[in-house]
Amino acid sequence: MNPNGPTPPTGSPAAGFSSPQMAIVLASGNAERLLTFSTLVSGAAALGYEVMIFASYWGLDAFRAGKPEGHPPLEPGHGPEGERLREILRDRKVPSWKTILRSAKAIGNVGIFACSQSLEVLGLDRRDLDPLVDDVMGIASFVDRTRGAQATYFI
Amino acid sequence: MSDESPAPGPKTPDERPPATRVVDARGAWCPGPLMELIAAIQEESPGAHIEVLSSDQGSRQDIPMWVQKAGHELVRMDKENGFDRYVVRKTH
Amino acid sequence: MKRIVVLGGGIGGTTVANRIQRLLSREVEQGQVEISVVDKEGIHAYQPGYLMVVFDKMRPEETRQEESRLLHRSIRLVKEEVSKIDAAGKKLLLAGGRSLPYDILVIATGSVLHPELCPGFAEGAHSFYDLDNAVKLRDQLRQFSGGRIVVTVAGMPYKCPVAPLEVTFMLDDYLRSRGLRDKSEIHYTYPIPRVFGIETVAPVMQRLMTERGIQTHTPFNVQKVEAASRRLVGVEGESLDYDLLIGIPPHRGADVIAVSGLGDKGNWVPTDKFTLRAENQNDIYVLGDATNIAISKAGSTADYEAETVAQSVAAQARGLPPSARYEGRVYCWIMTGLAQATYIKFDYQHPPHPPTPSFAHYWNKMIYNRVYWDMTARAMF
Repeated sequence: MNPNGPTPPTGSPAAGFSSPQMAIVLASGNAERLLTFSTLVSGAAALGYEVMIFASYWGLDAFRAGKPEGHPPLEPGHGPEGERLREILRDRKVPSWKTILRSAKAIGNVGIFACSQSLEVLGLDRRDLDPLVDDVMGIASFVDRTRGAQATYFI
Repeated sequence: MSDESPAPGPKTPDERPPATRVVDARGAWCPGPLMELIAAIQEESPGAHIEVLSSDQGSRQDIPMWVQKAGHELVRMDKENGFDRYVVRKTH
Repeated sequence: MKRIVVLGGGIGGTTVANRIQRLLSREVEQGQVEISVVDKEGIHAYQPGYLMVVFDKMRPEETRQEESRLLHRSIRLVKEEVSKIDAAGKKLLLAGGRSLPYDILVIATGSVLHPELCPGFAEGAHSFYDLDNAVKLRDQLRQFSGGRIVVTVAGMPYKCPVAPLEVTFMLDDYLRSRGLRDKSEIHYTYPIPRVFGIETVAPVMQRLMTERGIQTHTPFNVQKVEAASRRLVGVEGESLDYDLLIGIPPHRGADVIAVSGLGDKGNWVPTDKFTLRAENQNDIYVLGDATNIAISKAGSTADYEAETVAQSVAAQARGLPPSARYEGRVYCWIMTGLAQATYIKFDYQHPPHPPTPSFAHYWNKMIYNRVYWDMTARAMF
């Protein structure tokens, strides 16, 4: 969140402001998908979208506190091409997905919510999560809060 | 001839008092018809008749309510084509 | 030769002069058209910067620029005071004694602050509508150690309708950043029964204020400021004690408008809201705060109006019918924190729907503050 100001409201239909909304369900934890995810959030936030994110399973696990800062593992099964991708990410100094997500949160309206069910299945507690996560939410609430979203994504 | 007092509501245009000032606030979201009225009242002298034209639904509550609270007189309100005309007399 | 005279070198006068020059560049170059801007001080002020000065986000020097550096080199800058506009004789009478004839006149004389019209205001209220007072308020805030702050509007109309909202939200954020919010109360008053004029905007602003613990008092029209006892008295019967009072002073149109017999009781010039021609006058256009149009007195209003006026003036100078129309466009950022903002964008047909406040919108505003000089004042775009 923006360190320089009060917390901007999210869930704009309730707060009365008028911004387009983007809803993302994040269920993946590998580098390629998380980088795509963060870049998407970043672009949307810069355009003034309210971005609502629901993290479940490996997407939620990616937000576990204490994970190393760099790139998580790549998607397996891509053979030598996959290995090359890892080198490219390193040589080109591509920022980590978390760095990109933090910037997005600093400039725009981004809400990150942990799936309550995944939390339980993974044996995690709210306190085990990175401070980037705003709150815990059930899937029904998320669906309800994002019912008017102009853009929806499943990653 | 009956004893009733004249019916309230729109009179014919010739029965409208001559306007000291007409404020055309149609399509004025900001500052808005009521604020334009308050500004005109501040600038005019007591006894002045100020007409405000408003296409804004909210004015129908706002203007009569404020006029009463501030102690002025809402002389009449006419519904015209796509807007309302409020005639307010500054009493003090 | 056609003489086009612009009275006033603020945002309206400067952009309209530069735009007319752009449209008539060939005629100007060939000496068939002469454009002049009359401005007594010849200093162009970026007024939105004053609020930024209060919170140390801009330095005072950054809010001013020499008018001569903003006008196209072919435009004459006349740094003299105008004592009267002789509309019948189509000339300006300058204070020094000579006169400046015109074929087409654009009045862009803005609005003038009149704190004396509100009893006790000058003695008891701080303000930020001129640079000196903005600096004073900045220094006062640096010494503030907690207490009750009241924000009020002491007369209507006033320029920059969103400013009372902005100073309130920025104060809240500022006090939090200094750890003083718990020791302070912020009270916001407004003359109508809601916190802002526009109905599509007022509810969301009220909600933000409630969330941040800002107490609102509406409607509240100021009767007087009792400076000695530090009390703000409203005509509706409510009074508010304060430790620090921040007020928007009463405004009127420029004195020269009254002297010239061109204005209404507030010294605003009756103007057609679409063509921007002065009513009952020939060859006079009016833009910016100087008009009597029921629209926000904002910089963006003057800027958009200047587009229309420039086109009409250029057409008229060429002997063509001036058919440009201003559709009521306005665009205002609203600061909702020290580094957070939203904006409202509207016209005569469409009310605004502000987007969710964010740092991104604040950033856009800060960038605009820098590019204002080239993009807007010099009319590069």
